[in-house]
Amino acid sequence: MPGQRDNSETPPPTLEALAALAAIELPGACEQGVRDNLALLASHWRNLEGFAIPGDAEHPE
Amino acid sequence: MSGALAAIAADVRGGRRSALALAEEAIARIRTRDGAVNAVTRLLADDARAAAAAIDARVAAGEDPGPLAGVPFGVKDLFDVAGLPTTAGAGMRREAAPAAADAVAVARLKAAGAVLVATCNMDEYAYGFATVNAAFGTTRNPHDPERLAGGSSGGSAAAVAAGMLPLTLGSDTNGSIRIPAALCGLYGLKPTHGSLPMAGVFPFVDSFDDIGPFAASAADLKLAWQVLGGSSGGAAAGGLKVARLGGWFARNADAELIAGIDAIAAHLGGIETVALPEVGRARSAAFLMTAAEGGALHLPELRARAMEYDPATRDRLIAGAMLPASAYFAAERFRGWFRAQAAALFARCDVLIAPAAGTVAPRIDDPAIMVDGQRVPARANLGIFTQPLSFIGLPVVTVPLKRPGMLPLGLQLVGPPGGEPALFALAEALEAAGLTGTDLPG
Repeated sequence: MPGQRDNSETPPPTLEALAALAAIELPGACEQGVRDNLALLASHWRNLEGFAIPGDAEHPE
Repeated sequence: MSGALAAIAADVRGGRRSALALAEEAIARIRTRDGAVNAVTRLLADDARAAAAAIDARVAAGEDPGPLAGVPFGVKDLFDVAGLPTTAGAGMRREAAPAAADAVAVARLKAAGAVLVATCNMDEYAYGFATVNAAFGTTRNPHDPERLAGGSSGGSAAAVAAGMLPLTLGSDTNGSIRIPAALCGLYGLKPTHGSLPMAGVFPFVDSFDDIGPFAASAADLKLAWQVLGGSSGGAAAGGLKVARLGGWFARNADAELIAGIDAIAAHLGGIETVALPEVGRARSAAFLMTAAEGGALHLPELRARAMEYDPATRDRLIAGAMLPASAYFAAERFRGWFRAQAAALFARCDVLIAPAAGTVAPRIDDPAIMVDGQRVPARANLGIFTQPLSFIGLPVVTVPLKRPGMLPLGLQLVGPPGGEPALFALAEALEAAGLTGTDLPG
């Protein structure tokens, strides 16, 4: 599917990198909770990417 | 309870009951009952008395205060109330600047003669299905105080279910009216997205946020909807094409819920079972958009004072703020496709029936539910049947199955955009047939 991620070769960004991108100083008390929630969101994203919207293949953007 | 709001208003308009006495009764009920429930965050006794006295004065002067004359009501703590901080359920907002004006929805109820008596508890910033709040406490289910009331509008639902108030307002982004309505055995409306006024409502996820009422009968719910801005038009239940949603909506639902839908199907003379495709992915997409929009909304405050948030919402919001834009756009693209699938179903059906929450209210000391054989937190997962529908803006009336003496179970009556009149027609017909209806505890 065009634009689909290939997670087999690219390591996921670190929590620190994501925090830096969002310009947020992550309190230590939040780290595990944020990791858990990011893992949950990643699972939902993978679930979504496992489906090719009909018609996308014929009209890649 | 059928038509209780209209009956109250008729009595007040006719001078047979005083709005002030009704307000005093509501204040007394809250003072007596809320200690066990924790539905109310602020009791506005003096303001309610003043507003009620003004209603009585208008009646005495020969004026008509409106279709909700003297009806006491409460609002989820994210509606602006002039002169009060809008907390949105956040302890960090207890000292926020007072709202300059009422939210439009609050103003419309007041303009129809209703009397604001209380603000109601919620999950912090509306991010949860539990109404477990670090600053304002847990709202307990009036049917069993050891169980959750649901959320995020749990205080609004519990206030009606406990008989403290006959009408409250909540908001629904992923199920925050429908879940507490189901767990507390009430009627609740999640309207067509964007159809009721959001001005003066603390936002969460603009793409899905809506407001709506809770009430103890279909007629009460419909009247509140009409006052809030819904259509005055009606529909006849007899000619409606009704179907039940299968597939995703038949999994993870209690057998008693399925039996309730079976009974409705039999009453309607047998109805078709239809399926929406890829509902699980729709829920995933709703989850991603919610996290991204909620995180983006709160990012400035998270940067400045993350530790002042409720831990249960803070970590979810921070994760959402870190979500790559690609995930959001993938979800948005999916939404367009999924909306088209629903529209195709509604080309041949007027109303779809589905479970609201999949089970009775979870226990507060064990806030988990089973989804596909896995124990998962209730706070994030009670909306498995509600999220995929609000994700595409559909209107839903939640109705309670009639099961006196048992913990409540609720169903969703789902329509196409603008389909509320048909939903109310079916809700009233099922109530008249004794298949659905409220049984308040005690």
